[in-house]
Amino acid sequence: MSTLTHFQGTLLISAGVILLLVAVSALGAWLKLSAADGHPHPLIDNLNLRIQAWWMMTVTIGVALLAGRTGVIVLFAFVSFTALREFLTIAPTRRGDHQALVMAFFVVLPFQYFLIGLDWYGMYAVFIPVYAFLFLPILSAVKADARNFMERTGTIQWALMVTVFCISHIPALLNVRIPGYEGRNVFLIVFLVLIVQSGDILHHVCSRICGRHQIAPQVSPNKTVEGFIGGIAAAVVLGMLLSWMTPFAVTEAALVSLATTLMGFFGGLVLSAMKRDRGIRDWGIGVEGGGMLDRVASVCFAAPVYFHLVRHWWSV
Amino acid sequence: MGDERERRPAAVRHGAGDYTKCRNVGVNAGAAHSAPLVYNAGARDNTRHTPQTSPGSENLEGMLQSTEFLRRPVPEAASWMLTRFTRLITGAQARWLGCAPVPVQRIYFGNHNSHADFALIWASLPIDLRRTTRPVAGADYWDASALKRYIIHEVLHGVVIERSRENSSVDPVDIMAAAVHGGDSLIIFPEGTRNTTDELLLPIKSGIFHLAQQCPQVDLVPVWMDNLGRLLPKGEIVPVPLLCSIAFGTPLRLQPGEEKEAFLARIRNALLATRAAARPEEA
Repeated sequence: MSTLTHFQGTLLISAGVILLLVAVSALGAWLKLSAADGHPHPLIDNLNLRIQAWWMMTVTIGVALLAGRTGVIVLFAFVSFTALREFLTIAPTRRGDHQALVMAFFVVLPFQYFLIGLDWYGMYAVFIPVYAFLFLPILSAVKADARNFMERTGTIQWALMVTVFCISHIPALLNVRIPGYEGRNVFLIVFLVLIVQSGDILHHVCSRICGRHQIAPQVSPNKTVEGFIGGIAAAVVLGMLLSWMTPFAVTEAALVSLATTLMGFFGGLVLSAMKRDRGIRDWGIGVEGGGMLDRVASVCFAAPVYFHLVRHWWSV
Repeated sequence: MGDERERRPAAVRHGAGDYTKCRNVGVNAGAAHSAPLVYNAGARDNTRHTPQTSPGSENLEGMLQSTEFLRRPVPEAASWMLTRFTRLITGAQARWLGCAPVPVQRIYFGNHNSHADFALIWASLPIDLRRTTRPVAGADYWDASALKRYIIHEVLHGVVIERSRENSSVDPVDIMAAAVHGGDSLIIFPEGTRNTTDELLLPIKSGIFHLAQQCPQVDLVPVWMDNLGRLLPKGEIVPVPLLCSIAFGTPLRLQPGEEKEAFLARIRNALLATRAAARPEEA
């Protein structure tokens, strides 16, 4: 399979993803007509909403990939912006945090993606964990409002880490230099998204079909041991099947998929705990079927780990 | 144009259909005289109402309304931009929890955290409702500069009132009632001023009670908005693009013989109930 050219690989993966989406869309429509008889049905409607979101995701990522490196960076900057907006909307910030919030949206976020564009690894790896961490609380503190200060500054930093720092590691994959893999780095992104998303989907399906034992009922009643096993197994198998598009050997692809999908699963769990804490069901107020953060929660946690695995073991 | 308005009796100026919606309780004189006070007497009012003065001109009026943007291109474009901009910045989608967005005369009353509150309620209304819905605004803020004057009078089509009685010989409630009797819907903020405290609501001022007394046949619709005050706190320049929400609750009216205190308490509870209905997860 390693003899596939870049063009053939692109064609194959696009055709595969689109065929799969057509198949699940047909399945969703068939379920809506036969099982739900056209009436509202929470389970099937939820599935159809997800399928719509996958179409959107596929088309957007496809267009960004065609637009090249800048397109990918701009796309994920936009994803970060939307997710940061959803996160800070429910954060317990106060009047005194206004300037820190302005900085987070209009300085920290663009600058992080600018650093990714520059390929300055030494800086984009520490910019948010160190510099934003140090300077944003200063902006809040000079406003002399100490009420809930620890909670407020902690939340702003958390928001930036999850929605900007973590997500920016997806386009950062374009920067990794792997001998013999030049020009194909976008497939690292496609692989990551496919693995984590299919882990999510299979988790959902297995939980629905045979979910008995909840993992953390207080946090997320939908997460079950059966779904966990099914999702991880599916992601690992898919990772092995898709290893031809990566620099990994088949067994390596299995291990990378395992690590990635585990992080994805626990990322979803952590963000569910946050939603539960703030008393909301979905991110993104008023967005039908949940917001951006509901879609990318798993990828957020998986991206930095995947990035470091690739960079540490496969890059020069 | 102002002269023409004054000469015509109120009932002729405004369509009879709308007019009967609100019983006219002794403010006829106020309505006729206050027309020049309701500063925006200008272009928009005339385009909307003038055709009705000749009988059988409904088609003509419809035609004129649909081509309004041709004759008032700048305010129409400004209004369109303001609507788009507000929706983009706030990310808010209107939720009609207690009533539907139908073209019925109403008084929308909301919680007040930000100068953008007007714009958000207004931008959340469908276009046909927006054309007949007028925000009630304080002259001290909105008449302070040429740009604000332009926005409130020409774009938002607002009803500008003096909040302190010393500057005005006319009761602001009469001015609002005159607009209602003229067939328009209103957007008001019964707290009277922006709430910059940590409380959910400031005490409700009695103005809404007096307005309801003058227009007992008009539905009062509670509107709850979240997060607008965080978007751009007082004294800041750059807004933070947090998501806002807006919900329209169950309409209420002044009951016959209802006391002021009881009515104001109902107003307050209606706002809080709308807030609660908009976030069922917290229950």
